[in-house]
Amino acid sequence: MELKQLNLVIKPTLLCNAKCIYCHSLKPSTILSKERLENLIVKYGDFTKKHGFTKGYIYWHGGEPMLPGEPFYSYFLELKDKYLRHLDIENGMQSNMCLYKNERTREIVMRVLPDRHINGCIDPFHSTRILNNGGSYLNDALQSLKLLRKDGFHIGMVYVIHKKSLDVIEGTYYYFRNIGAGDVLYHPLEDFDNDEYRLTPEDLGEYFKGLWDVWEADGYSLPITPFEDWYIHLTQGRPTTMCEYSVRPDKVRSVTVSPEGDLYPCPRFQDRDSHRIGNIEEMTFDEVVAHPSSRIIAALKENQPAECLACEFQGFCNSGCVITHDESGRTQWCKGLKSFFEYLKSRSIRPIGRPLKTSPCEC
Amino acid sequence: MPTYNIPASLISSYSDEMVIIRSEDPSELLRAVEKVDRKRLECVQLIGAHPEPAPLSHLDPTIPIEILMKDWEREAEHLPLYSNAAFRNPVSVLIDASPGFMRAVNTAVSLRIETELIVHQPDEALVRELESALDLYLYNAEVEVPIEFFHSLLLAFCRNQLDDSLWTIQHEDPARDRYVRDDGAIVISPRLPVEISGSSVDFLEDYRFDLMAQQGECSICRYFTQCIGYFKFPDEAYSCKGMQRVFSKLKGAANEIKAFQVENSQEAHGHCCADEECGCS
Repeated sequence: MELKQLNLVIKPTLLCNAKCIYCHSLKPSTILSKERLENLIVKYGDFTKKHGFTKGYIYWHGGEPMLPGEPFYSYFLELKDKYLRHLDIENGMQSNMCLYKNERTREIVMRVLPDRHINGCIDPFHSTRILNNGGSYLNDALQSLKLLRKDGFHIGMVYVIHKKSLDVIEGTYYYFRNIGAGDVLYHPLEDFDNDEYRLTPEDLGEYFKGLWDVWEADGYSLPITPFEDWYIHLTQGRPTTMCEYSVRPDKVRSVTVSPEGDLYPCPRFQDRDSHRIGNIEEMTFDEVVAHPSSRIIAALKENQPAECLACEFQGFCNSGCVITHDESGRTQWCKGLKSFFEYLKSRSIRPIGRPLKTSPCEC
Repeated sequence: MPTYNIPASLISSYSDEMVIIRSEDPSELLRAVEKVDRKRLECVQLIGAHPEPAPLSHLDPTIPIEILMKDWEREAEHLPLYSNAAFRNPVSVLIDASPGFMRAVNTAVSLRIETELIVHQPDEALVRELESALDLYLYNAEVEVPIEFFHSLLLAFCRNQLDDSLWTIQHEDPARDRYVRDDGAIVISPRLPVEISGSSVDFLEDYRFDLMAQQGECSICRYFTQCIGYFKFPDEAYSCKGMQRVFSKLKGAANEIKAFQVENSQEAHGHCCADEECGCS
């Protein structure tokens, strides 16, 4: 077997304390039951042990992964201790952070995330993120962010670019820098049919150009995904590494688990209930990795359309995120990305002057 | 461990702490220093450039001397008494950046005495004077000593050290700097007469997030990581446009230095990239 590592993305619930206007994840849901969690961890442990894996990765996603609370995660830690001791496990969590308030939550989250790495999400200037209880999302998130910093967390930010973002490119960049974000992932808004917020490929191209200018003027000091990846590709010719824009070797694969135990190749497929692999109650992980859907991303990346293969910027985007492919197999953002890459060609790229966030230099 | 800036008369109350001892009288400073373990003494601070500094020549030469100039117009003439020629100790002067302060700066740097500027909320005319001081520091080849806060900020920009804030550089970080007033009350500094409490360790972090939540000028400022709202105190409505020019000039100079270093490094070592952690050569 060529596979060397199997990563788990666990969605313990799709419920959320917020209702962001463009969310794809929020659905009627339950909390992943203890029985199902145990089944998952036992099977993950059996599979990784059987194949001699020494490293693992567990990423908590949602919904809001802090919602299940202390009892759920205490049980997870028991299971981890019992069944996954052979693995050196990296941890992460995608959360709106707002529930990181009381001592009990702080303590359990710190135990679940010993690497102290969390990804939050804030829209500082537009009310796209709304709390169910009517409170201020931004204020709650900032208060929690302060506590997370105090507790030693590296905080990555995810920012969803929408139409209105074009008015605040520099402001948003510096807002994230000024709250002490360790890095920022900029992600275009997809499949949201609202004239005020809908982003076109051309908008994305313009946004990226403006953001690159701000980043460059700031001496590239805040690590930005996917810019760092493209920076490395541009200046050193190394392959891109970010899932969306790379062809990943088949040595590492991910499986996303829904609260009902359904399995998907990535959280975004789960959002859309596409390419479902099966259910953890009915499958072993040997069966999961043998399922064609489990390697659908790699398969699509290996069979990029002729138009992409002939494109001078193919190495930058590799046909983009497969969930954004149109009927021709190109990303829906193609036009905007091309215009941005053309712009990059015209830039004089300066040395970055700090260690890069992405994979280490291989020279 | 915090450092307490204390009047010499209160030395016995701070026997276990890191201290800066201050007095207007050089003889009193000398007597107070004799009561302190050298390891706990950061420096002595002479209030005003006293015309008779001779007692300080008996200090251990490793003890830095800071001269806080009260009235630099009157005291500037005494500065030569504190030059390297007169003292073996490291000497620096603290100059309040009020109108006309450049004369004191010029005197100090010509005597090769390190200078630290005490800055409040400068108006446009004073910002222009600060820019002149910055030009002097950056571009006058005869200036051989640091002028603070410019020097430390320039280094922070050059090294991408985002945690070196103006609060630390100006010795006003509530987590580590304490100013004990003559009446014994403990505040952050004379500029920031905020009484220290148990939660003062979090003062800056709380302040940072208050400013971010307000979404005012600071929240999207290019220099907030170095400044953390330093100039928004005491008047929160103060506009930082002028000070942003000062920061911009410093950052531009840092970028020039970095580019020069990288060019030289590439020429000298053929280094493939600017990744400082990269082991390649």
